Amino acid sequence: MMSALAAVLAVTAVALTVQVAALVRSEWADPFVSTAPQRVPVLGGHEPATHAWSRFHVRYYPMTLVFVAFEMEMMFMYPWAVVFIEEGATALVEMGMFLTILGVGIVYAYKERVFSWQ
Amino acid sequence: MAVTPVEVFVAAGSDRWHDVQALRAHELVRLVPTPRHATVLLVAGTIPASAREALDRVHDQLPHPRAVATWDEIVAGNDVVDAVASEIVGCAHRVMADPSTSSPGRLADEEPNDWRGVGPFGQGGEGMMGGTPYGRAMAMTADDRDGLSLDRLELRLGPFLGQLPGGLVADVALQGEVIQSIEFACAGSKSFVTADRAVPVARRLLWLSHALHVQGLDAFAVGAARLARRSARLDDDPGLARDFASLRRRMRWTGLRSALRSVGDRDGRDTLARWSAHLDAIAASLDGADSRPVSADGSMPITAAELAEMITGLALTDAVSTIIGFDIDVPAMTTAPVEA
Amino acid sequence: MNEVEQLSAPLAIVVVAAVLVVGVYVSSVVDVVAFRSVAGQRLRPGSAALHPARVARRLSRQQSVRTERPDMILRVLAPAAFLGLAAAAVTVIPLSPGIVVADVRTGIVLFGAAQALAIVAIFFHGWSPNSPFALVAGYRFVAVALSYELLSMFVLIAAAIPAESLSIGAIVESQAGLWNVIRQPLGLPLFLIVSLGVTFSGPLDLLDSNDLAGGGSVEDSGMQRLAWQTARHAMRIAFAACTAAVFLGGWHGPVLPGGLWMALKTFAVVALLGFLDVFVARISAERFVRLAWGVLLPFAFLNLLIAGVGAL
Repeated sequence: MMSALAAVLAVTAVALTVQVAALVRSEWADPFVSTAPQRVPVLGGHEPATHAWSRFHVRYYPMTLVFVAFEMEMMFMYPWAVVFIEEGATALVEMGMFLTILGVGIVYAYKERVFSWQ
Repeated sequence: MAVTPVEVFVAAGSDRWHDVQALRAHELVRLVPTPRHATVLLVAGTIPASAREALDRVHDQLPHPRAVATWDEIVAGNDVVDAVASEIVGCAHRVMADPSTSSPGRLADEEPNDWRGVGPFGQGGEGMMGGTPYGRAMAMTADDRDGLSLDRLELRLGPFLGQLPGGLVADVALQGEVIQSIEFACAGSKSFVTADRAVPVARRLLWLSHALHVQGLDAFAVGAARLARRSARLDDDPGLARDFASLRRRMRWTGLRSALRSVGDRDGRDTLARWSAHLDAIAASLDGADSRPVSADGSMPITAAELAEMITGLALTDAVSTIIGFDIDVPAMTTAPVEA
Repeated sequence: MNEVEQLSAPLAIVVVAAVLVVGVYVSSVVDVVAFRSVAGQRLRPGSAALHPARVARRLSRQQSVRTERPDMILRVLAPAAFLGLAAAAVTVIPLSPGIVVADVRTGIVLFGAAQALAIVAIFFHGWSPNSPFALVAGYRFVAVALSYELLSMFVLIAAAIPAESLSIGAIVESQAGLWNVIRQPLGLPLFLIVSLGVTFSGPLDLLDSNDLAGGGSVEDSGMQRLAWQTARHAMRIAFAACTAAVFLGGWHGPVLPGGLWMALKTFAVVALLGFLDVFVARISAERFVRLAWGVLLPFAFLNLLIAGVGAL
């Protein structure tokens, strides 16, 4: 197992390093320097009045809470899938109940306009 | 020698903006949505003095090596679009072969705000929000829904954006992705001229080409631009109606209808209905005995104030789709031509 | 199950590099061919085959413009992390009966983790240039991403049920009799939607889209743009390979060797994804979120039920 993990990490690290190296090299070895007017963010010709970084109103924030609930359910489903066939129909029924309870949550969220923000 | 298509960003005044879309049909040229992706800047139409600085800024935003081509200065034979495309390709090859001839910056190389050394950390401001930290002010808060009070980004969307009609300037205030207020610069009590008037079918097809590009269907935009070029040649082309019908049939499979349904609803007419009106007008005009312009039934003229009110509260995606759905003819900007 | 010898780290790097280099090139060519064929232009196969190389050369010589106050660390890390995660995702996929870089027992968990971290990398790509369009594109994409993330996990878990294991190698072996695309018919369409989402193409092109002047890529030029496009294609290869392994029977197939079957199936999925990228119009973020939570998630539940009943 450890060697499998080592392989995964090695591959990820190499891919990351290759990309970082290419980008850093292009920044350092660029014959052209970005002038101040060139650095203005693209808005069709005018300058922005403020930085773009701001306290952005993420309008789907209730949806992210529902997502977290489902993620926690997913954590339980991973081992459930492995022992499913052993456990038989009880496993199906139990997960069905779990999902139904969460499904009720989705219906409620729908009614509360969690998934629309315009 | 086969080469990749040259990437061009178009800065068009409102009088040439539709003609420029015909370039989409050309295989050697590709219109890109942002100046950062482009090698060549194509300046087309009448640029008024007020938009001069914006044009210079857009020019400076192109990455080196860059070149500039001007539509009106190109001497054309029969086909203006072909001539423009060859000129663009020529410019691009020249500048890529010799990057030192890249077009130099037009605006002065100075920071917009003096911030270095100002403030306790030299970042340009006091505390978190004051002054111009690192060159620009920070966005200020405003009341929003859910009892929140979050930052409001105020942007001036300029005259030379790929997704909006050329020459349209809009002052937008965004909180999150949703538009809180929008004001069009050439507004007042003037009416935008929409498609409820007779325009040539070529011009409508060019509108279609741009609108398809904005909706993410670049390949179909090529097809529409090609039809526009054919119809502009004024010969009676019997295959044109048939080809347009087949384009329209293929468009049904792209999911465009469900993407546009109930976007920008006004008095029960949504963007899909407006698109259908335009497409019906094109089909009727092509099926007619000659290419007589036909007005689109049912699409009402709309003033800038009404459009702004309709868009307020929409997310930016839907706002752009709604604006494009109206075939807006931006009033011609002031007629002072740009000196070369 | 693990008769496969674990590849050493250097060999692993070589294998994944080969897969990604070839895959990214082929995927770019597929994009060009799909565009030309839908647009009705001449196909010109020679020029299409050389297109990615020419574009790469042109972009590597173009200036990488910096914006006024970018977050340079994230600007460099975002495409790098995206590529790294794509590479990590490829490691758990069996490429042939004998070759799988890392057949961990929790393959789909690692795959799901790579996908989830990719959301972060994509968000950083929108955040880092400090440009309004990029920021809006990044934030709206996260809404879409969280919605398809759930679909992906449900669908993969449903595929793991008959295999009694979370490793993708075991899932492939469980398809010796019948492919999952037939046993669990809803899985493949849902996973294709997820693949379109994670590579922000077709209907879910809400990141680098034309209606926001190029969206997250509005400030990208030169090497930055090339790096991001490469990472995107790499992610497409990873997801196409996973689709082939989990739904299309992986390396199973009659006459040809397993590795060749895997390559053919992956190529077929890449071609489908490339075609959908060109052919389907963009849907707005909010509309997709409503669709995903209201319609697609119940389909995923149904798929789970079918898988469960079928396995008993």
